[in-house]
Amino acid sequence: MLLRRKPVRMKNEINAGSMADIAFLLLIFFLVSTQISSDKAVIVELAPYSEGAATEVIITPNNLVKINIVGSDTLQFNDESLEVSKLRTMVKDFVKNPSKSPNFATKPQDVMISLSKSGSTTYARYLQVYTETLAAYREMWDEIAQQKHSLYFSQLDESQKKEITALIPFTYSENDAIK
Amino acid sequence: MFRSRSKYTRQTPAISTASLPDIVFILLFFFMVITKMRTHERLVVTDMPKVSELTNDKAVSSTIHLYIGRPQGIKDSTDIIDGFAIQMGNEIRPVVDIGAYVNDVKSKLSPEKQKALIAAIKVDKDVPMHIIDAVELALRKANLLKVKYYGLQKPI
Repeated sequence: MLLRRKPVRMKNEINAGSMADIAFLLLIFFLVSTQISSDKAVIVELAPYSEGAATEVIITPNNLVKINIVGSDTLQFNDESLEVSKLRTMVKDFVKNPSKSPNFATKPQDVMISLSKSGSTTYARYLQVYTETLAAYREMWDEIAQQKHSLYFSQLDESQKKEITALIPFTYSENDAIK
Repeated sequence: MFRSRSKYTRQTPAISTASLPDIVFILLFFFMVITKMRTHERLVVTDMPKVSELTNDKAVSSTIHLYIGRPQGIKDSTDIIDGFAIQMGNEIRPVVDIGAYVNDVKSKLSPEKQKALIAAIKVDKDVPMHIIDAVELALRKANLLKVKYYGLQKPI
């Protein structure tokens, strides 16, 4: 009598032990090759280009904020040297004029910010001065937004934003730096 | 007495690693999804300045990328001004070519995208302003008025 042998069967299972290793390798590849790019930026709207002379605007001296960057990084505020850290409060004081000083702005709507830089001014310095000035305005807008709507300026909708920027408009001009 | 002895003889069961690949795969997919492959090989180094007032612009619209920084590798070229060069697309080109480059990119886009087009510029912190103003003037002439200057967030 023949013994019936059970046929030797292969197990129907793939060894998944190395799966983790493969996945780890891929993971490490993506970890190394990923560069998380930030979308943080300063957004600027340029003036449209037109041939010929620019339009002339007449502003009384006490309404003009003259910000000068002399050379590569010396800052001047209305012809007096100033540290960048103080620029924000200076701009705010000038625009709001809480002490009703005759040297400062008559009213915020009349203020004109004029930034002038030289060809050798570094980009970092320029951006710092520009953003500090903008920050001064943003803080003032925030104050009004808090009083009126108890919200931050950035949380308001477009029409509310327009209402506030009409009270304190950011009128800004800049020279073209030439080498 | 008996009880305490039985504790010593008991073995801890092995932790099952069967779900480890799944966990790793989840991590892998996360990184695969957030990874955006670079479209341009960077020819210039842009060490961006740190700024406190930055807005997070999430609006995904068509952008033209410009990089202004120190050129890598190339030393002698008429396109290098004061040690800095401008990269448009995959090559370094002089400022005067910006208008042509913008129009070239514009012509490949649909009319709606042309309207939404913005210039995204990465600038090295030491670039002198006369280069940037020349670029801005060229962009204004090309009627591309919305510009996004990238910066790094300064810790407050």
